[in-house]
Amino acid sequence: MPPGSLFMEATQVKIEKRRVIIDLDRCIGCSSCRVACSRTHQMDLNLNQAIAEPVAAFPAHCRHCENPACAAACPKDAIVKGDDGIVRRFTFKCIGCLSCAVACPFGAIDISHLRNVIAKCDLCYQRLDEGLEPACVTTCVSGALSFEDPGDVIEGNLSGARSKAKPGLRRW
Amino acid sequence: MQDSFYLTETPRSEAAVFGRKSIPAIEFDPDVSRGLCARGNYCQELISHKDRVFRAKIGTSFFSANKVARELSEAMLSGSCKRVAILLDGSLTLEETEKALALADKLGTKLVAPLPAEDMAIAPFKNKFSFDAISKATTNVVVGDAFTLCPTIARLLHDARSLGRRNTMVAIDTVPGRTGWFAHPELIAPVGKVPMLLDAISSIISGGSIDELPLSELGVNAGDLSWAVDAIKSASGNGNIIFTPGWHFVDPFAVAAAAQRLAEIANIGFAAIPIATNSRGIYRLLAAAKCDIAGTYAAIRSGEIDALLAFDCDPTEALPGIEIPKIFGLTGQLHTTGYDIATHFIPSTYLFEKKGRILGTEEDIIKLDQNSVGLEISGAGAIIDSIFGGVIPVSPDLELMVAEPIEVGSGPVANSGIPKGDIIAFGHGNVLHHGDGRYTRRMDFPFLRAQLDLTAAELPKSLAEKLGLVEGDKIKITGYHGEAVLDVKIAEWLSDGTILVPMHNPVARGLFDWGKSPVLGPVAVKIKKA
Repeated sequence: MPPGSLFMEATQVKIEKRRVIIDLDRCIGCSSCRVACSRTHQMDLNLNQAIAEPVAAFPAHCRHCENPACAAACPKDAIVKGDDGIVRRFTFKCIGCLSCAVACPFGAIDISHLRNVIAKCDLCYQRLDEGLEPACVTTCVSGALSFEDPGDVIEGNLSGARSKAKPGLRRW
Repeated sequence: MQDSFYLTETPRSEAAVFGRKSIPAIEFDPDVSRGLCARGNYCQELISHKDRVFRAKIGTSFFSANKVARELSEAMLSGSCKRVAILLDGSLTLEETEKALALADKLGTKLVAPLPAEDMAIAPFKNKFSFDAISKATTNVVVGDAFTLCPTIARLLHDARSLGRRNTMVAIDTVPGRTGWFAHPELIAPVGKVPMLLDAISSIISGGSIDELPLSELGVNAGDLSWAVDAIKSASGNGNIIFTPGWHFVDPFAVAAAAQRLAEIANIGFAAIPIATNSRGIYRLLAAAKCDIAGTYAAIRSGEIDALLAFDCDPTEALPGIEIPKIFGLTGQLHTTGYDIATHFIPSTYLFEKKGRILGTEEDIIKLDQNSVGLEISGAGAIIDSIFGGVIPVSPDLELMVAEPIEVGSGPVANSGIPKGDIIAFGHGNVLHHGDGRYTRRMDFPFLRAQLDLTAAELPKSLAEKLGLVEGDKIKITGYHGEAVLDVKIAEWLSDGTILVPMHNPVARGLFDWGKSPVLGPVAVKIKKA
């Protein structure tokens, strides 16, 4: 049985190409996205914070990789990439060994436990089913987060990000 | 700055020039799935918060709201209650403010003031701008750390920066801040010199020469200054200067006045943006009624009052350290610190559950027509009526009464100067505001709560070396108003002679003059190893 059919019929699958994109030239580190994440997931915080000392703090979203290293590293198959492209964590299977956190090349999985399991972004798939965007995107006050197909972003939606930032990085 | 925003599903790339419409809306229906406040808070969270209070009480005993209001009224009108002070939250409507003024008249007091006190710094100024204009401006000049004090505006400023992929923001502050990070150039002036720097820019735009300016005194170099001047000049007719008061300025009134002068000379818009939605409208009504705003803070601070009424604001959290009088009437929505201390408590509604009018940041009157959903409680206006003992009529001319600010010269409260030779301590804001965060952002998220444990003062490397301090050491910081022992954290970017302390940390906030100031300005301190 392919992993994806654990939770949906193959005929119903719609591949979700969009991802949460962060424009670092807009993120002001206000943590609104993390509050939204926590609120949407019944106070579980699935959105890790990346800190570039001493420069800035910004959300580190799961990329829902093509070939997720976290899923490959998981000894209990608790992380599965569904047919829709979303990489999900199954709480009942997770033993909290943190192998996925070590394997993730983007630091998107926090090394601290969340009720003895790992915390992982699920792209707010319930909201997607309702035609909404992930909660972190809708609450972003500075417009730093968008929910787009990464292919479109490369076409030129972002504003140039840090390449135009000044030297002498400083910010709290 | 949460007035009148609209919901949009427009993708950001297309929304970049839509100004206020690109900001997520405040929504009022608790059943909708997207009830996001423009500030990043959750109005839904507040509406249905587990700590929301619905029952009125006297001491620890519950009674009906009407009975508590009657008892409160009788207690205040008794002969033993001679001096009453009233505090109004910046989220009250104009109608509720006028009712509070009528109540103050009945109680024979002019001690009425708004909270948060920081908003006082910009209340006397009249705005001349629009949110749409900010997002489309050629250049926006931001004085103060707008992204920290008013995150909502970040989107508009970013929109302007994104237009044509140019940077279009100049930041002016006394310490590097979150806003300055995104600005080119960022002008950091010495403490107390920001008005002088703004006037210097005005003089250059008026035809003066940079060479004639005391640049070393202003703390800026000629290159950055001329860059800023060129950017502002090029924005004539399509630029803005945005001032957010805060804890970085010795005299924010002077800063706001200088910013307003620059706006006139450079022909750009002027926006002084408060923290609370209707602070400016409330201030104008209080000023027109000749209330002693500064005297109110002073009287509360010194404990010279017999009764304190706080409508929808909690002074025990906003003005920590005050003496609580024998009668302390409080209205509010959440179980804040004051709830436990209040002699009389009556539950009330949030701004987004009210009907009434507020003065918008664009100097427009915004009509609220929200009905609180399924609530059995009243807003502050009805509660004031109950305390007053009858329905207080509201003037039909309210809109005219708040149309113009009352001139107050350099400001109603004198600011203390910073003595030469001392180290200057700035308050360092964080996402939790006012005390333990219950006042404005009462959320039980562990990662936010963890910030309460901020116990480190940030020192520039030069100062740490001079005092022989390394990270992790403890220092005793002593100021005029109090002292605090904090850990040392080295911040290489800080200017010599300045330190940053976590202003909202319960230990560190004693360093600041909460009672006197409407303006939490920097303070002079001395440091030694603890």
